[in-house]
Amino acid sequence: MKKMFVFLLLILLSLNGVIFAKEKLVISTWGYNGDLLKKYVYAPFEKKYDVEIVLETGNNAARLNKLKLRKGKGTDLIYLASSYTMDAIEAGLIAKIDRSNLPNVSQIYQLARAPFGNDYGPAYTVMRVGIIYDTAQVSDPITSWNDLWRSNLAGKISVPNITTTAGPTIVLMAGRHVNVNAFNKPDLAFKSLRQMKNNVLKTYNRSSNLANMFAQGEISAGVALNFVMSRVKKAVPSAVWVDPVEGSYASINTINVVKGSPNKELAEKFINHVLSEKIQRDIALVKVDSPVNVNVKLSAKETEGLTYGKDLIASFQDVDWGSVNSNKKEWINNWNEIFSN
Amino acid sequence: MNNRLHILLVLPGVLLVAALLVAPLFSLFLDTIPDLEHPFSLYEAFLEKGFHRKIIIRTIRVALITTMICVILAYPCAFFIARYAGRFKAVLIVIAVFPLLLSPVVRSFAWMAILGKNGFFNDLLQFLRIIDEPLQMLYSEVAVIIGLTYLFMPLMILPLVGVIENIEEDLLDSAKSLGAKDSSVFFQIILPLSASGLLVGSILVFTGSLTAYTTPRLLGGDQAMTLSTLIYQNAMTLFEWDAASVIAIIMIASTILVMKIIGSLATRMNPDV
Repeated sequence: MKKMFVFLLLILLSLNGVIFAKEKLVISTWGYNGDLLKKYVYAPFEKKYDVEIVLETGNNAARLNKLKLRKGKGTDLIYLASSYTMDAIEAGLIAKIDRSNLPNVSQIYQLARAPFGNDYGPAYTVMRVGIIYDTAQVSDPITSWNDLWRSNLAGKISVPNITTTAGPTIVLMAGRHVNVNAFNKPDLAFKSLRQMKNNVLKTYNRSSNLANMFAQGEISAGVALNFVMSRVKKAVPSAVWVDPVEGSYASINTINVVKGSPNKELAEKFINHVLSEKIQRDIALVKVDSPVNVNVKLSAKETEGLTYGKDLIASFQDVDWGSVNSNKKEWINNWNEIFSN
Repeated sequence: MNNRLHILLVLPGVLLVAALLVAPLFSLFLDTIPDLEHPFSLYEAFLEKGFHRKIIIRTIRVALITTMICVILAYPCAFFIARYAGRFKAVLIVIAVFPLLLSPVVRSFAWMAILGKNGFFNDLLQFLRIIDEPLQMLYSEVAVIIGLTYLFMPLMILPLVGVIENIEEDLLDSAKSLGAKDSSVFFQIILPLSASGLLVGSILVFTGSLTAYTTPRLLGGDQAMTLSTLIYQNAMTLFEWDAASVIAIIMIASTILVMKIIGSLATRMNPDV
């Protein structure tokens, strides 16, 4: 009798899981800062809409590739960097968005509202590419992109690999070093990059690699997105962030609804949730993402390591991600010939 | 047991291997042939690039050096374990296979801590006043070979232990009593009689080193790029699955070729292998 009771209880419990299962929202995103994002972004949304958020994590390329192979099935929302967003749109994987479900868009910076047109999702954060260097190791201050070619930095710097979010900006910077536009004169830009090769100990694929190289004393300077700074600073207190005098390169991350998602409206509510003043502030205070909501007011101390403020954002050099994408294959080949040869 | 029963027993395994190994490999190969007029155009395009050829040579070189170092270092270990008659034999085998029990990432990070500029090795050399400035050891081919040797050494030790255990002690004693030097005993008796273990170990270490991804990625620099990292880049970043398939076929062909060479060397040492 007792066994029968336990058996029935188990059946009821499993039925409960089937009948009363919560709606699921599958989000494809990066793996880092997962615990903080869970606490400040996902959990409040789950509570508010009584929904379960399931994460698929990985880098831009791996996640987009999975989405392509599955033809978009099984994922509701995807976080991507600019160039990959464009790639996903061109591959027909992104749903057209209903902006009436995103009232918070009116509160965000103009550059973040519709970076790929009104049909597609907004940017939820803005970053900048700059230089980090260890003041204990580098005596002459680094102030310009051109300093990365200095002979006294031989074997002491690291730059993001071309396949990462910030990677293509290295080619643009190399072009700038010899006063050419890398899109028009790629040969000269790569020749200039070849001249910098002797200074590059290793290119990195993950921000944690860069932090490790600083921590182990392998490098003294590196090009990075600003969110990496807090991690490097923890490992090397004498490290400083530099916005080069020529201006930093801007990089944005977007959230989009995947075409064919059965939870499109809920997915749009999630985007709106991420853009809200409260969530943008909470996530900025723990240094995960820089806010794009103009109503988020932070003190000077709170903005350390973030990309914050109208003036700063206005000073960025725009990157033509469409041209980056159309040149990607050739640029990666040229890059490999320089760094892997 | 009749023949029909034999076939019935073998059939499920054969079908499974055909469906899960042969068919995908064949499909992979077909992907690399765009049309029958120019069946190898993708291979030609791939091999045309100088840095692709360099990556192929580097990958095979790293795998061969790793295999040779493993052979040299594994023989004394395997001989000691095989001849040890005490109660800690199982412990010795566990110690020998220990590298395989760790995650490749943890293992590589441990080597980063040892070989880094602020790492144990540089600190030791500086403490002993052998060097003034720390040496750059990480992010090089040498670092990759060290990492791979550590990782695959158990795959060389275990087959060697198996075959050395089967060599009669009397045989070695007889040779010595007839005046053979230790080196002659090793080259003329132990080496030929352990050729089958050497063959298995070499194939496992070579194949593992040729296809390793995490260790070259973490310990190697850009100039230590290998075929597996190139496959990843083509498949996952460029979405160039055809190019990735070409590299995969080249890796399979290189493995088969080197396995054949190692096999014929082993047969030369001992025709029974």
